[in-house]
Amino acid sequence: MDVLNALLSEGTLASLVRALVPLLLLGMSGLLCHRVGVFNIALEGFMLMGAFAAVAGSALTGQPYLGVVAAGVGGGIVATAFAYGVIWRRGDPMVLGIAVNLLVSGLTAYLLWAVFGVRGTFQTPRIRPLPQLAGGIVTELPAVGPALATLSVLGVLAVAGLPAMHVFLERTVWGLRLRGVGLDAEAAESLGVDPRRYRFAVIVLAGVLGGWSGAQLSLGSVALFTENMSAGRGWVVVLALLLTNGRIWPLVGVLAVFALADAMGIRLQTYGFPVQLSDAAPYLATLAVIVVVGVRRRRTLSAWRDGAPARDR
Amino acid sequence: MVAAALTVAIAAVLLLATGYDPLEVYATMLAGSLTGAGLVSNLQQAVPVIGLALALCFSFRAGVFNLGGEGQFVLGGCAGTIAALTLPGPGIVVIITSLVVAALVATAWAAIPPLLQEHLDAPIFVTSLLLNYPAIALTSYAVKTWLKDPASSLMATRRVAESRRIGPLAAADSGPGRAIAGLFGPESAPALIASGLSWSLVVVAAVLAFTLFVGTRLPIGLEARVLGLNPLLARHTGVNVARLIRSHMLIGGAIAGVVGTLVVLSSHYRFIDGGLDGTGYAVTALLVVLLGRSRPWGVVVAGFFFSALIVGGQAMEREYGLSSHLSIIIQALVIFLVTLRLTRAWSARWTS
Repeated sequence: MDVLNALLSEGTLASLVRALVPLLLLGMSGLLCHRVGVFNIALEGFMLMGAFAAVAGSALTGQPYLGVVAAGVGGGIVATAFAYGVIWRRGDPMVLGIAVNLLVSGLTAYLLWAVFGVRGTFQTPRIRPLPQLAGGIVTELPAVGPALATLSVLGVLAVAGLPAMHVFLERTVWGLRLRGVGLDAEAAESLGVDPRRYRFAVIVLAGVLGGWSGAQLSLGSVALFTENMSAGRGWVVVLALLLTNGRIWPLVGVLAVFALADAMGIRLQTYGFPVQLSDAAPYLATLAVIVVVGVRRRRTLSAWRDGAPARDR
Repeated sequence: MVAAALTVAIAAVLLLATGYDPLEVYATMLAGSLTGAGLVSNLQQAVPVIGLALALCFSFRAGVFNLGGEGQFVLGGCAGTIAALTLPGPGIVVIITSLVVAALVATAWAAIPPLLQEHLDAPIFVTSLLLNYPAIALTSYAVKTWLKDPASSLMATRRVAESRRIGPLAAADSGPGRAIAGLFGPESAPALIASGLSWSLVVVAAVLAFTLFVGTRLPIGLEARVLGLNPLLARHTGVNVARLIRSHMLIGGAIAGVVGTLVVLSSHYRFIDGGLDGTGYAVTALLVVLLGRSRPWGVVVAGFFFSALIVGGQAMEREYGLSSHLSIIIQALVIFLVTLRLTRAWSARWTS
């Protein structure tokens, strides 16, 4: 019972939020690309570059917010290179995405060594983490207090940004144009919207968001950088987008499952479960989501097929 | 060519920015990968890289991005090591059985993504990649608990018995080895290659022959290429797409598992936690397939090229203490720039 109680405590909610915030930011980044019809598997690279740039910026200047700026710039630069290849050179997004991800993985490890003389994990007091915004009475609220206390500027951006993005996409002219470009690029072009410019701009913006997701990863609850610290999160977002077909709330749900498994895995470790189990838990949980979503879709389809009148088939 | 030149230029800028003389570094890289002992370790690296790239060739040829090579490689290597450590019998039989065990285990792992795609519409390229993490965690757990060698401080299994290792083609102190050394001299390239390269080379050569045979002589090879080039055409000409993808994923998985065990039995002699994924072979193989455009001979050429980069990178690391991550950067840059098709862009601009 001890284990169960600990798993359902306020502390778990706090670690859930901690694990979820970077994913939400990256999810927003991926969602934008999905909506303009760009298949973006370079998310992993955006995030990793952001995580490195944030730590580098924070360690070199002592200012965590400059780290955030650096993360946005870093993610934006990677995204610009990717966007140039995909939009203007019409390269295969899959190949370019893989190349970008590996390029960033090598580049961050190389720079980590060249600039800081470190291999593997870089952790010093010089890296200033992002300050937590909430204080005093808020953190003492029952149940949600510890969770709110973990939020940084980027955390607030993630929590407030998703509804804002929903409104932007569904209720504004710009959002309509973006969705139009994604749904039918030719139709959008015939109405004077240049799909390539919109896509380019959206990818660069997604790069900034992705960079921030990395900053949250490396400066949010910890203050360190590890080689390949994004650890497949970009791919989880890609998968979540495909599974949910880019619908915003189901997307948050899938990402929450990953984050929950991540949080629980770390908690279980303190009860003597092997570290490898907590390493693998988020990925296994994501695969479980695939099964659940897939089975439900199959059921709906077959129910429709069995129940629909013949003329509708 | 433009892409290669640009890569060299960009990497040079990176070197300059971090305070190194690019010309010297490049000279070291070339000398380190194409002469004497460097050439031998270049070929040593190329064998597993090409083997893994051939494994990926199968699914990539069918237009399926299998990013799970790493998991299949590590899991197969672990399973093969367990077999080599525990099975009774004479050396050569155990080696072959271990390779078969590795192939079976890795095949089973590679069977999951196509199942998820067929029944649950989950794309292979993501599921195969995500499965790498549990695979590596599983082997790591096994090594840290019941497989661990109590006599070693390394997180590794016991050493595989001498008779069960895959030896060099012609060891320097064996009859054929002495004959080659007598013919060309003991420090000559053929002698170094014969004593430095293991029989894994022959296995990978067989895999190459198999890949070529399936691709050009068997109906499923033709069907796979049609599917890769134009899925719609494949569907309309009656190709059983699901079965084709499944079979190609399984074959690729089997080969990846075999290569994992080859690496263990011919160079590590034990399964070390993080030892196989730490080689970077799987990452390089992925880039090799992309550069070689999933064609077997293209993969061989690209495999040599990228292994030369890795070995050159290691030479550079020894000489200058430079991070060998530079070679991954160069590899990924080549792929990126090739995909941009800059030559076409510029010639179009000049002619118009």
